[in-house]
Amino acid sequence: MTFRSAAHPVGATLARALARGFGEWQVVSLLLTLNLGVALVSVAPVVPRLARELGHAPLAEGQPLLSAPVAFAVFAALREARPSVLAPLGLLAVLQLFLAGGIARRAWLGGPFSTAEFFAASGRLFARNLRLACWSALGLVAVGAVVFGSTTLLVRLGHRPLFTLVGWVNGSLFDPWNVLQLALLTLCFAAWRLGLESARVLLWRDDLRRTRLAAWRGLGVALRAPLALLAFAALLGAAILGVFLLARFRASLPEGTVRWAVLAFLVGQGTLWVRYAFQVAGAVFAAEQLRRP
Amino acid sequence: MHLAPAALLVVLGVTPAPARFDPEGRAIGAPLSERTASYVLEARLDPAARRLTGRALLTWTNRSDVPQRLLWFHAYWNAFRDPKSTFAREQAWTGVVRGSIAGFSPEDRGWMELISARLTDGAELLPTLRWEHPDDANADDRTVFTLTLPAAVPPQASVTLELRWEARVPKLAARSGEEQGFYFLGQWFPKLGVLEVPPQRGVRAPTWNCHQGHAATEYYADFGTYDATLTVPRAMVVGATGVRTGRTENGDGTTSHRFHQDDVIDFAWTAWDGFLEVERPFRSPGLPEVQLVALVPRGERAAAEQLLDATATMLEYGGRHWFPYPYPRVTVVAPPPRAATTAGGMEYPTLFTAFARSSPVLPRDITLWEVAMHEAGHFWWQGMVASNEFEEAWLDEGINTWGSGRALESLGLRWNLADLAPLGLRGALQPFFHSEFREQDSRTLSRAPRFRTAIALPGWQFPDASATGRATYGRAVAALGTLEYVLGEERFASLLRTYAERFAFRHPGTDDFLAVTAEVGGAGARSLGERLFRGAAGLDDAVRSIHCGHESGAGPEGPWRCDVDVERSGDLPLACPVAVRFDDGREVTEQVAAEGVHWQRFTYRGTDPGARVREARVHPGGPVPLDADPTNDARSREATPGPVALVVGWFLHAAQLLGSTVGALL
Repeated sequence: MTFRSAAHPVGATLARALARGFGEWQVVSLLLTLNLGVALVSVAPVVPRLARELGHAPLAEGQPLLSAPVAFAVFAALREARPSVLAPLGLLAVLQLFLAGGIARRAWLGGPFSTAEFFAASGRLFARNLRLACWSALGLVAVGAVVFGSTTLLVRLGHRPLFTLVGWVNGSLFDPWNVLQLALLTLCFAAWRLGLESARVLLWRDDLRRTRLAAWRGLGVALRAPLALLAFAALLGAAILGVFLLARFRASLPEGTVRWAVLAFLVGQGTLWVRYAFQVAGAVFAAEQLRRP
Repeated sequence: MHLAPAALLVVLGVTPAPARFDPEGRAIGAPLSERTASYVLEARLDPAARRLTGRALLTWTNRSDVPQRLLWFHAYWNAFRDPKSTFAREQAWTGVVRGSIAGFSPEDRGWMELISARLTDGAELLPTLRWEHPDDANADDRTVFTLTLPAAVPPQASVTLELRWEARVPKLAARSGEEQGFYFLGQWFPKLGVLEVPPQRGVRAPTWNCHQGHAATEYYADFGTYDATLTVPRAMVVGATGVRTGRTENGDGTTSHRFHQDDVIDFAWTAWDGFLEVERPFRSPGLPEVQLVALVPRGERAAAEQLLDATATMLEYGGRHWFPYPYPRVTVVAPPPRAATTAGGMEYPTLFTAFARSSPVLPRDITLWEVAMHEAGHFWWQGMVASNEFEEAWLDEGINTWGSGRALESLGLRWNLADLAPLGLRGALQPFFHSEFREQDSRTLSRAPRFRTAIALPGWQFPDASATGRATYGRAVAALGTLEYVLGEERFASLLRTYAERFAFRHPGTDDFLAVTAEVGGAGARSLGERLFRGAAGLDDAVRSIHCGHESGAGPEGPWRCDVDVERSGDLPLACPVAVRFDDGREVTEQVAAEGVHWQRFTYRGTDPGARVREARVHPGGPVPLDADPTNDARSREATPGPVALVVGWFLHAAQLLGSTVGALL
């Protein structure tokens, strides 16, 4: 009975967070637009080269991406791309940190969306969110240490964790040890992420300037309610599964014509939309945890 | 009713060829090789101390017409002795090929020390031992030594030496050593170099060919008879070159395993208490029967069955295309996963190492089949057609990769990247990574319009280890494919068969290959072969542009003019036909000269819009295998937006997913 009474509010919170996350279409659209913009900047340098290589290439027509004529042209284009296609990711990182304040405000307050207020909160909290990111990076390092440590331990015990080459080629997702390790990592990652989201909301709600304190309190929020943490891990798992299924659907679409490419593009945007809706839902869930006495 | 096995085979319509060896590995009838260097080996392995104590009775015949007093030997395990060996220095300087020894602690290192070297009359030769450094004058290298005999061995006479040595088994690297109880012992005994005798590989006088242990080279040895007795702890399962001829349980908890094989160039063995042994015969009409044995980690029986299937397929392919595999046995060794990358994928006479997988893709897992077929192909290319892997590795790696690739292709086996995923994710990842790369495609990245080196070059003379690999494997395959492109499939098959049959159980060189090329394809083919294997010429023939418009000043109603620009990068002298197709369906074939033309424009005029060029393609019969970029072989006047949209779409999607992943970490 105790379990039921405790689980029920967490379940309701989760449902509310999901509904809010998917309802915050303005925030999700903003994140998606930002992502698409940066992706376009990333890809732009290789387009002229690809157009030159494949724009009048009948031997590449109708071939899938992972085929010799196309894959090797892609490889050459990537190799010669200047600046690197990965460079704009740095820009995306900064922009996402900029928007973190606005998202935290939305997660805490809700109500009608105001662009001016959203960006005002983003701007006001930007520096603090940058500093918070540095503190939270320590948590991420800890999660990395769990990955490394558990992998090393499993290897020593004679198992084949999926995070090693041997395990990837020879292991199995159904191996109970691998399931256990993945569950542990999901929990650790969920704790870190819930802590970060909570800290961001705290920066807004309490106008905290000491980001280390916010990070510490956030972590406390994540760890004090195990059921909430499990629910957040479930949210994370659902997000990964949802994105994976949509991306898989996109990957299974036929290839080779412009029409199919347009459809694939739209499905791709849908995938990212779902991804960001889950992100906002995560922030709302953290805010809900902070409302609890 | 009881039928004898042979009679049963006849009833089933499977008539094997007569055996060339008896069940104990001894040749029936005339020897297949000259048996220049034969060994009776005894080894005792002490796993607790990781020590190996060995004794060899070596009989060597002087094939030359010059008396010989000096004998050259390899002591390969001294490559793992310290960071000063040529092997270690090259690994540090030019890159690692098969397991780095850079992180080896002193306990991990391995070495080999000769304790005595006596003639049958008891004369001790050890005081005459001299370390030699024929390749790099590295005085710290101890991988080659000479012994001086008190009297020269006369031409065609033999000498017998008793060598005793001690060795520390290194931690597994470069396919030799120990890893958590698994032992693979290759190049483990003091091994004679090869006295090359004119006209062998172009030498003008008898010359010892005995190179140091290098990071990116393999081996070279004479044929002989090997009889080895290997003593190991009783729990260990042993596999080795040749046929098992005895097993003796000793009173001290050890077992002595005896193996014998005539007419081979080397002897390797493995010992581990975790092996599962799976055995079955290979029978095919017209080919000798071969007993196939797989040693795989326990619990990986499914992989063992596939490894044996792959081996049988290669025995069939090689037997039909080159010459029948004559030995009575094949042993396939799949090391445990932790030793897979350092011990897997290496060839020895009648034995090779491959990879196993706990849950292989059914019915054929290309990750198992590709390696197994490649290594089994080495039974011919270097195992029997015994080229010099130090100096001309392309003759075995290149030809074998070409041959085993064809055998894979004949089964329709292609690389599907999704199959590399673990069980449970393969299906889920299928849409992302499904692919059908041919074995040859995976070598495409080795092609270029012009190369930095020749293919036929000693392994340590390439700029770095990866350059050695690219030239020896991928580029050599593409070069052989180009030769086939010019000669035609049938004549090229005849070239390889003639070369294989003529040089079986001998030591051919690039010159011998080119001589057979000339015999089959004429002087032009030889000259092309010279450029392919000894030159740096590459090829990228491309239709660079198609431009159609009205003649200058003629206005929109005036005659059309279409220019097709063909560009040839690279110096390979190859005729370049160009097929040009017009809007009205006509097609013409032009020719670009084989040499001296790097750019040529073909111009077409007409009044009818149907006279406009629709598409042009160089080498309309299919791309030249050495062509650096086959995609640009053809060009259309109209745009082909599909491939660009496809790639840009995927790039964009990947960038977005990557961006969102970065977002999840911030």
